[in-house]
Amino acid sequence: MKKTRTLELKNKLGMHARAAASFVKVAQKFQSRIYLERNGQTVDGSSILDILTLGCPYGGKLTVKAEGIDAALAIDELEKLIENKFGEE
Amino acid sequence: MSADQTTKTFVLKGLGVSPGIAIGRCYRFDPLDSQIPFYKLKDKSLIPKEVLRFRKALKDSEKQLLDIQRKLKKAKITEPIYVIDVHILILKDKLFSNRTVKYIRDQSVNAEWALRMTLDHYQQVFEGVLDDYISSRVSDVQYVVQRILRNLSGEKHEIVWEVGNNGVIVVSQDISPADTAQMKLDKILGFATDTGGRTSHTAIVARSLELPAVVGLDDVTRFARTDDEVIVDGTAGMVVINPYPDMLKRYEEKKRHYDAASDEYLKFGRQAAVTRDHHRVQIGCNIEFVEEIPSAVTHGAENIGLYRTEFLFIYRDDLPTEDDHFNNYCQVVTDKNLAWATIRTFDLGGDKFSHAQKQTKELNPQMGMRAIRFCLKEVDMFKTQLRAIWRASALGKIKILFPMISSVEEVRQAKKIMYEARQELIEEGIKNIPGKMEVGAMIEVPSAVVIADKLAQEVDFFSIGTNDLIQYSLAIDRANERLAYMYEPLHPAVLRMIKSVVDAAHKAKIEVAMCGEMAGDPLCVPVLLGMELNELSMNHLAIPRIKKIIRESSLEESKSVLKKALTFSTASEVRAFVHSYVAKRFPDEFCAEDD
Repeated sequence: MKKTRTLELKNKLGMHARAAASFVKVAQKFQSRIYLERNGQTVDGSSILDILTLGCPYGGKLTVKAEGIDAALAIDELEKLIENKFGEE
Repeated sequence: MSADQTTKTFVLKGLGVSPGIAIGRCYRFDPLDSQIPFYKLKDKSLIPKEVLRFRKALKDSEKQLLDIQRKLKKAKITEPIYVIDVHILILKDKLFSNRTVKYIRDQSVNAEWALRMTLDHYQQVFEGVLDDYISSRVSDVQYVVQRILRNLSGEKHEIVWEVGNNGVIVVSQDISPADTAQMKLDKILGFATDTGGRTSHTAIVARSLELPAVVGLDDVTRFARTDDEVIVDGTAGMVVINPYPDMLKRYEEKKRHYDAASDEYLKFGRQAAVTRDHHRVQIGCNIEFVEEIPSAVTHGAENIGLYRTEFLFIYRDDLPTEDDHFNNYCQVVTDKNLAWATIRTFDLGGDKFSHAQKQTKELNPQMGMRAIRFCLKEVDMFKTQLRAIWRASALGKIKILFPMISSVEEVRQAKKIMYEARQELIEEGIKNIPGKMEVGAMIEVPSAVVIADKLAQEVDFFSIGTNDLIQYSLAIDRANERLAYMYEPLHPAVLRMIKSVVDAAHKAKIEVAMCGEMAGDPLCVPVLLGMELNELSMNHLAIPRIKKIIRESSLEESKSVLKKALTFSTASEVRAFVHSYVAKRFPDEFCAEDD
């Protein structure tokens, strides 16, 4: 199963260290492989360094892709995380 | 080594961030030992072993970080925990470890070399990130690499202090929370670091342990070697390496004086600030960090008169959560020795730059978008703090103080948001939120002085912030050294303003405190006593002496001193008069050098 969703970063600091850490932690809960895409660059969603180097700022658009049996679940939960501004504000 | 001719004395000047004098042996703390071996593996058969060695160092590093995290959690230090989280995730990052393993395999280099190449790679990638904040996070990768390198070298991780039997002076580039978590703090006499400022971790730790510390010395790590004799003068912001005998003697003498004086004065700290004619003044303490509370109590603070909360924002890279606020406020309000805590809502902007809140450059930040103005604009950030304050007020008495008030509208708006925050908490079912909290206005803008009678109708107390009030009313940029001579608390205009604020407050039957530096200036005590301020709040070291002077004063006499002081036309006349008065009246307290 493949799922794709494009989301906007609403937390003030963008995809900074703490946010990236929360993202990786959630992504790793699932069997599906998670990818993040921004401006044509795709990175591994379980690599905190890759995510950080995407340099996604506040208001930036980010495409989340999940591939695997729990892809739908994974993408829902990651969307929730991003929508909730990583629980920061 | 015999009588060592190569020993040279170095005197370095830095920023004293924790007062006192420490004399002891240097311990050079270096998170990354500079002697890293780089070599090619002799033949390919050694590769699997090298990979294993790397993997083991990764595992060991992770275990240590988890350990440190547990310790910090126990100590309820929440801020650095997430940083450690990030470090653990980097350690577990497959792309990071696979890249290193690949270097070992493809190029037959040792793990240290491979790791170095991985770091170089990430340094390059991070440099390409446009966002400044994110690109600076390469420091996290560096930190992780350093830790792995340390494990590869097989170094012991509990830092053992075998140098000086009587404790050591830690000399380092900088000290991180994780570093201190591994140190035996009771073996440390003082700190000296290359980098850092008043809010750096070293400074916070030193103040909380009441150990002398000097930071920002630039290159103390270049001059000081382990086992060198070192003097740290945290009061003057100086470090001496290998002092010559006479100098050492002078400093030992100085240290005795300092220690004796503080012990002697602590006695007065425990007594109440009551004049001979039974007029009582409440003595508060200004703090920036919860770590300062124990010192505040031992020096005789009766309450926290000013808790500056902006440092919650500055000592970190992202915005503090409601719980981050709450955890700090809990510690401020639950100390049984303190009657209450006045929490000032954050004064961001101005001279205190926060990394978290990127702001557009202002030509005149002191008069810019800061303090209450900023809060009324960034309502969400403001509410996060207000909610935490309400929650903490269930555990102990809190007075809330709004900074930089210049109009009645600001007070009304701030109060409205404050009560909205309360309503939200109630609707969310949070229990024990009190019905009201005392609200105060900081009086530090001249317009607030002029309309003090109107402001007094809106709030429960005033707190006069003399630092800004002087700066704004005399139009002196505090940061401008060429104008420093004009900064004068005893300027007739300043005295009149303070007087009119106190009178307006008392007429409206509300209390008035002072929390600027002036409140802790011994010379100003008679004048301030004469004003009948209800509370003086100051840094903890000033408390014992101020209490002593108050106990030897009388209200009646101070009133006449004030009356006379208000008759002069110039600041220098006021100063000369006050000085001659205190020199005669308190000869022990004001000797010649106290000018």
